[in-house]
Amino acid sequence: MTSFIIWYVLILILAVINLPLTWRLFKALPSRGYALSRPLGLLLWGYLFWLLTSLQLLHNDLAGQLVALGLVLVLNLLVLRGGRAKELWAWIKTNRRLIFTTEVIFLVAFRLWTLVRAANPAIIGTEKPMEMAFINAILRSPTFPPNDPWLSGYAISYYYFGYVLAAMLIRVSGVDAAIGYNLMSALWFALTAIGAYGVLFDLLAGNQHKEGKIPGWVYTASLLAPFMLLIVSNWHGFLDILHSRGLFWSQDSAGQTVSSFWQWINLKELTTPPPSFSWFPLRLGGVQWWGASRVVQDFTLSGASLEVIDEFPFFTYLLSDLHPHPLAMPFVLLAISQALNAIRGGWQGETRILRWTLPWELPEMALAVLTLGGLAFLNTWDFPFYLLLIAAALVYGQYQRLGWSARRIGEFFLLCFGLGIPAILLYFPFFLSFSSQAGGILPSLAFFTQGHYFWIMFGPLLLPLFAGLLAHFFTQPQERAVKPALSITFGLFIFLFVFSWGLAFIGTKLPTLNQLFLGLQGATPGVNPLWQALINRLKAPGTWITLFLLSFLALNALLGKHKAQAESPESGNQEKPTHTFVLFMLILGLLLTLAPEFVYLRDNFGTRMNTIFKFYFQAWILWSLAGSYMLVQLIRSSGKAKLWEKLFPFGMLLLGMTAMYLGLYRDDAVFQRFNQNLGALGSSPLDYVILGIFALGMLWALVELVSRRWKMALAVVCICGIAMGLVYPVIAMWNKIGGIPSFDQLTLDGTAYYKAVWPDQMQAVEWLKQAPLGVMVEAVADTGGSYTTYASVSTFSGMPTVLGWIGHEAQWRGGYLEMGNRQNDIRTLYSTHDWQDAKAILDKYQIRYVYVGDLEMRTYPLDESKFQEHLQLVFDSPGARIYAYETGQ
Amino acid sequence: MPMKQVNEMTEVVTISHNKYLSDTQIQLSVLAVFMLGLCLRLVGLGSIPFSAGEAQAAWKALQVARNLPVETAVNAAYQGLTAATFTVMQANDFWARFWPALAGASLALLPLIWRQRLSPFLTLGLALALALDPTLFILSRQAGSAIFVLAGFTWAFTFFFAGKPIGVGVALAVAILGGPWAWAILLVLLIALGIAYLINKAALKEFASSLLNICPIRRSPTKFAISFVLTLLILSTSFGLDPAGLSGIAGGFVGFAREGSKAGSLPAWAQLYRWAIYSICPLILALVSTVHAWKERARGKQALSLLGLLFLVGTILFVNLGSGGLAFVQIPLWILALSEIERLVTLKTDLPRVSLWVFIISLVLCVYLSISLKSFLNTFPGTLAFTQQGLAFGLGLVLLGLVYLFTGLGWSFQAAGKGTASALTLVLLVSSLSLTLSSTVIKAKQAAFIWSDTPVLDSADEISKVLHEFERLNTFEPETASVAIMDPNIAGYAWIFRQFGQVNMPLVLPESQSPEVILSHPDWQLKPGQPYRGMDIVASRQIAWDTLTPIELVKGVFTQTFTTNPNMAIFWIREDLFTGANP
Repeated sequence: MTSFIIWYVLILILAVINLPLTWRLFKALPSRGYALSRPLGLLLWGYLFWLLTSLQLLHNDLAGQLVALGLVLVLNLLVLRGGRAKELWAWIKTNRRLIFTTEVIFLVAFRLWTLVRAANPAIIGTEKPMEMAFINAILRSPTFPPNDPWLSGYAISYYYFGYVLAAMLIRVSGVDAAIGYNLMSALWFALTAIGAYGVLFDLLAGNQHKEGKIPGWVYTASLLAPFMLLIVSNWHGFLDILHSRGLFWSQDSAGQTVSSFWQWINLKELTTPPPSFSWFPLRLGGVQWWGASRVVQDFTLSGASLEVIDEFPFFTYLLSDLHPHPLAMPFVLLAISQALNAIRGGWQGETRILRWTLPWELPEMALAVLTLGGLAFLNTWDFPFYLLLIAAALVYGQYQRLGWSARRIGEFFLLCFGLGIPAILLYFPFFLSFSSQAGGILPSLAFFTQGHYFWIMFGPLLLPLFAGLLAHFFTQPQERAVKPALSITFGLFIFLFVFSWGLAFIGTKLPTLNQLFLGLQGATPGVNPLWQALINRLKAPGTWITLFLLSFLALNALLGKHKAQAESPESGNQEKPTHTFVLFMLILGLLLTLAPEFVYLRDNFGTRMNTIFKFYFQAWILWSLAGSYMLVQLIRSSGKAKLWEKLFPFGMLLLGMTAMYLGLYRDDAVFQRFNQNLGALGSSPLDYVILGIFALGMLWALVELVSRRWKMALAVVCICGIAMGLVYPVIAMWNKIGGIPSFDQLTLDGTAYYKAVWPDQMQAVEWLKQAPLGVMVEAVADTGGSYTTYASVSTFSGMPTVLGWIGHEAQWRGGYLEMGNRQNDIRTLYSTHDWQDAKAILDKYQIRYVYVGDLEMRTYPLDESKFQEHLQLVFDSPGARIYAYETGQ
Repeated sequence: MPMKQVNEMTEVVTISHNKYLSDTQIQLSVLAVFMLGLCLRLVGLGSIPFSAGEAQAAWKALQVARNLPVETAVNAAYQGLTAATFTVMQANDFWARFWPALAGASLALLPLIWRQRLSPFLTLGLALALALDPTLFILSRQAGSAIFVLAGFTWAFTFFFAGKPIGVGVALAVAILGGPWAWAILLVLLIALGIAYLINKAALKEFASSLLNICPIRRSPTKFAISFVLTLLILSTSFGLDPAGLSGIAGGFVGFAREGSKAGSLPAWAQLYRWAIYSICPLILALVSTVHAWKERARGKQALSLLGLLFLVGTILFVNLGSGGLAFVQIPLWILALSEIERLVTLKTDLPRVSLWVFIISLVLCVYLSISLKSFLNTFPGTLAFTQQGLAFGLGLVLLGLVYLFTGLGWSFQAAGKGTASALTLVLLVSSLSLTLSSTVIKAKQAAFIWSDTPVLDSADEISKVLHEFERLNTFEPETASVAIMDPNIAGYAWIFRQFGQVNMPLVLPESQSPEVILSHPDWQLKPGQPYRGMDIVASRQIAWDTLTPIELVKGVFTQTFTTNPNMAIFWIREDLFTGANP
């Protein structure tokens, strides 16, 4: 609790310090970017600290951080010159409601996710140890670039800015790094929540803003964005409970339980019948909450299944790996807000650069460059996406002011370079030490997302998007642009197809690429892979059709507005920039899901795994914001709410909560009664409660249809789709944290588990944390050690070890070159009987601490006598020892 | 020009000028006092034993001068100036303490700028007080002390009222870089402002607006900003020697946050007693002055007394930051004290000749009492018998009382008071001066002990002698030799070994090297076969504050003897350096 309060106060102080600058830069937004004060403050602070430390102008310590914070403060004080302080104060007084709402959302989200993390805090499994290792290594490094914790003598080769921010907060708050790790996850959840709230608030208030008065409903409706972004999940959870309840299963003639539905849908772990029928997934041998991140599967041309990652924010935060993609989320929202600010005219002004005069103000451009560069450093994949969005928003502003011409296209590309290159230069020290595993673009010949996977993944977001676009298409016939929309959509698809198949054709013809390319695609010898891939696609065209329709409808809405405005400029059909901006977000999301259907980035895996992972995640962010906006507009434009419209959702919510209580409450008697082997559908009261929810939804939609309220009927369908997406958060959370833990079980200490299981090792870690910095050595798994507890001493102490997780090092560096013979040398060091051999290795890697613990004893035929004889034992406990060595060099 | 009247002496700043001394004479006098203060500070500056804290500060500065990596400086102003000096001059004890001495002496120049608002007496008196006050004097002869903070803030304050934005910028930057006390003082002032706001909002607003009206920063913000930033940059980076030293801008704050939350080694009572003994003269006079000020509602002096009290409270609050905070009390204390002395000097008595006699008698009595007091303390607490000295002391007291009574009854109470008070003041001034001068005595270990917040390195001379002996016999060349300090608690000895080629603080002895000298904790063991000869030394000593009583402290100050706790170490020398001629 104390740590939580310290972090809360710290981040509040940062928000206050950075408010003047945020308020000044987002001047076209109704919220003046209030919700972004925290992330922008973090970005500025982090950037200044990282840059000055990288340039050896600051030490990587608390004082260095405070100097950087002082610079942020000075920058903000400069903004307040010239009477702006009074202006800001007046704005605060007139926007108390917004400030209060934002602060409440932040506090609730931060506290909520702190409790979730406190219920399952262990930094173990998946890639949490890797992230913890980065953070501790940054904390221990005297300067930047920071030491690679798992490859001594090298700097981190990964986009590590997020870990710098984490280390900064940990250091300045004085909390233990293992506690800070979990607080970091909760803090980012809260920052994302307010960021999303701010975006939707600005979109809705931007449309409604009249005489400075923002309608009350905007404050409430804007809550939909953080809800859709962070809570609503894909439909895997919904399918999971249908599967678990035994739906669509039947007995065949041989007495086997079979289901053509579940075979067709082909979701991992759901193709076999459940062990018993219950509303709560109880299948054995799987982690229920994990499956939702593996909905999409790729198949090679020979039919082999390949793993594809399709994370979405709720899963990501539940997993709580501090990976670059969640760490970048608040800053992605910052970039989106900047684009919104740009499209609303917030950048308008003049800047002279040499002999050119740009129609935008310098501070806004500088901020965009800083943010985009920051995204490249946080999660490199995000950089081009949001560069495109900002450039598009600026060009749209130009179009609004000067009208359409081919010049706008030129401006777009100039902006991409004009913002992109300085953004890279701004973070140049990072790129100097970064070696990416990305190896170019590959045509995605065999790999594509089947339609049903796509809908299971994005269903809750696609429904509001389609509903909004369809409503627009049918209710605004004067704003249709069918022909150009169809032409562009066709053109886009054909271009991507030709590009992809063209690349594939070249790949198959080039002798140097032929083997590799066909191997990756799993081509069968003797069969034309291009033709076979095309046939496979045509057999499962769901995603293509979905994206084609979405593209057509979105372009229709975008171009239709333009057409209507051009035809009758005085008719009042003025384009609303916010509406256009929503379409931009939608189209960008569409491109992010469409592109991997044709091409993907080549990495160490050789598949679409990471491309889908990173692209779909951003598509989720963009579509959740656009979908929230469209849903709110749909409901608002369907007229005043009737009594039943209030009763139906209320009834659905009530039934849902009852179902959750009955289905999840773990009191044994109740749980067994309702969940264990329920038998056929209808044999349990819970069946009727859950079916009641669906029945209510259908009834509601029916009532709306009978009343000829089409928009409301569409909205009901969307609400039902969202409700289906809410099943996963309930069952996954329950599954992940194992029910509701008692208060005394809650802890934020990510090492609590280690301390309980390996107390001696953790004492050794504590000793190392106080010891002078030096290279340590510990056991390396023969299999590489990824995702295991190998390298955990360096992970938690921050001491660089000679070698850690081999597979991950190879991924970060794009190969094994830097690792050299380290694995064998470490084996020799521990197992040799010859002191001179051991000494040579100690000298070679400048090893200062030799750790001997449980894993070392199990991994190697350990000969400890040489250490005992020649080295000084500096830490000793029954299960762990540390020997110190000075090379004298 | 009329002379100031007793009843009118309510405001220090309203005292009119007299014509006894011209402005030039005053300026020259203050400059002479400054030179006196500086020269006295430089006397034996390199001979006072270093405390561990001082040695580490000096060692870090030397590391910067040698272009070696160092941690963020807690007192960047000291480090920056000293490192630059080490690059130009020789790195020795004298230069390690030069800048604090200069900063301390510079305080004597402050009245020069305030002279238009002060009487010549106060101007000269304040210059003398700031130059020779024993507390300020001793603190300004310590490496890495808080004297930069005091000098920085007081000069910034002075330049503020003098309307010099560049001066304010430079001085404020020096104060910020001066160490943790800067932030403690700022926090104390902030709390005081908060309290003042709650008590009297209107008065505070009025005060603030009057400050704003004369604020030179408002008039020339650019000048202020440039001078402030440039000073920060130049000093924190040690004139460019250590670019990463920029972190030192916040080093003081970090030190404040870290040390402020730790348990201190020196109890608050000890600090206060020590300070009270060394400041007995201004303290008594300032107390009398404060009583008058509150009786007469003299706002200026009321504010000064509150400021002094505030700094004193700050010292207690942040006792863990060491003695530096006490330096802040001295300035308001001396202003109050001097105004009281001025009051005595200018007091018109009805019988001047009588008061002269009273003065002489009182002076004799005071001298007698001082001697008696020393004797009395010397025998305490051995036996509590009614000794000869005790009897003399008691009789002296009775005599003083009788004289006071008789003069008061027979002649004039006012005349008696003036005479007695003047004599007492003179004695107090002399005692203060004696404390100041006693600390300049070469090898004044006691002064070093009593005012050191960290243990004093006791065996530095002894070690140097031994090493010189080896050097003389040509078995040993420090420039090419190496030292390993195996105990982090005596890391300060790195400064003592600064002439060595390498001074390391390794965790274990390097496998491939055998340093010529090792300094280790007594428990540290050599590996079998390692060829070293060792001798026990007292690595450092610190006054046993935890067992010291207030009476013992008072006694110790006068007798210059304290009970100290030794920290032992072993001084190892490599076997092959020994020859037959070696000790």
